[in-house]
Amino acid sequence: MMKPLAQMTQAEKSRLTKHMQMLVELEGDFPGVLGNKNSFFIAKPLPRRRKTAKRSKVAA
Amino acid sequence: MPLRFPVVKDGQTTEALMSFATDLDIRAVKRWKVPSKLNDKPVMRSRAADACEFAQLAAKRWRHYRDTKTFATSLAHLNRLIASNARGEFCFHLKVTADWFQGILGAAMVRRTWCHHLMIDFLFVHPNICGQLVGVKAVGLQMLQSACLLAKELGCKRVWGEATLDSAPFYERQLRRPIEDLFAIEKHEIQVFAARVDNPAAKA
Repeated sequence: MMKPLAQMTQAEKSRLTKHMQMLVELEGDFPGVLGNKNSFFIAKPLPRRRKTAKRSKVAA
Repeated sequence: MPLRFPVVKDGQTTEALMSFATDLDIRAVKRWKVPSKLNDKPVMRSRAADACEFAQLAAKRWRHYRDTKTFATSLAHLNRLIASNARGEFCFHLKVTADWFQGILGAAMVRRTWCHHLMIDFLFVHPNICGQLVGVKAVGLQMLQSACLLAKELGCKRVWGEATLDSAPFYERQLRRPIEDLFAIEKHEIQVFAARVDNPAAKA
């Protein structure tokens, strides 16, 4: 895992800054969301019907 | 987990943490609102509205996985679920937080599929970030790369998902190949993305 910034040497910080410049460029104009809200995969399964026990007739 | 990674805030490199989301986190992002400051910026407003909608859809799906007890709230929990049913489908949500940001910077809903791949259903950043009201960058990309690190840790050989007209150019920049409506990050690419987030200050 990444070392905390406070514990980094100056050389490590400069490498990290360069790395972040590359990442920001790679990210570009990020639309803010990934995925598809209309996706078939995210359709919520239909609720399953629960079997209800038959009511026994109660004599009047 | 939690995983520390760098992001950019107002042009400066700073730290953020990614971890598994809990019920409370999912409820919190569900309450995200489109900032009124974006009313006169239709493109940014639309992005912020998408982020809010994705957060709500992810919460809706989360309820299904919670009710079917196939939702993991930690890496250990996910490993336990996989151990109990190797062919099971399990879901988890990741969140990004930082001590300099109130609330959650971004989140992702991820599924571990029956054949041990990771599928990214939704990934979204805070409406203030995607609406460019705050100068925070690289959260989205770092979340994707962190999902790859998680895939590597779990031994998954593929991370995949659906690309849209809006997100395909983003994936094309990362994967350096044309992307249509489906993207797949294969094992060798997972290694590259995981290394970028695992040790970002490493010598080139």
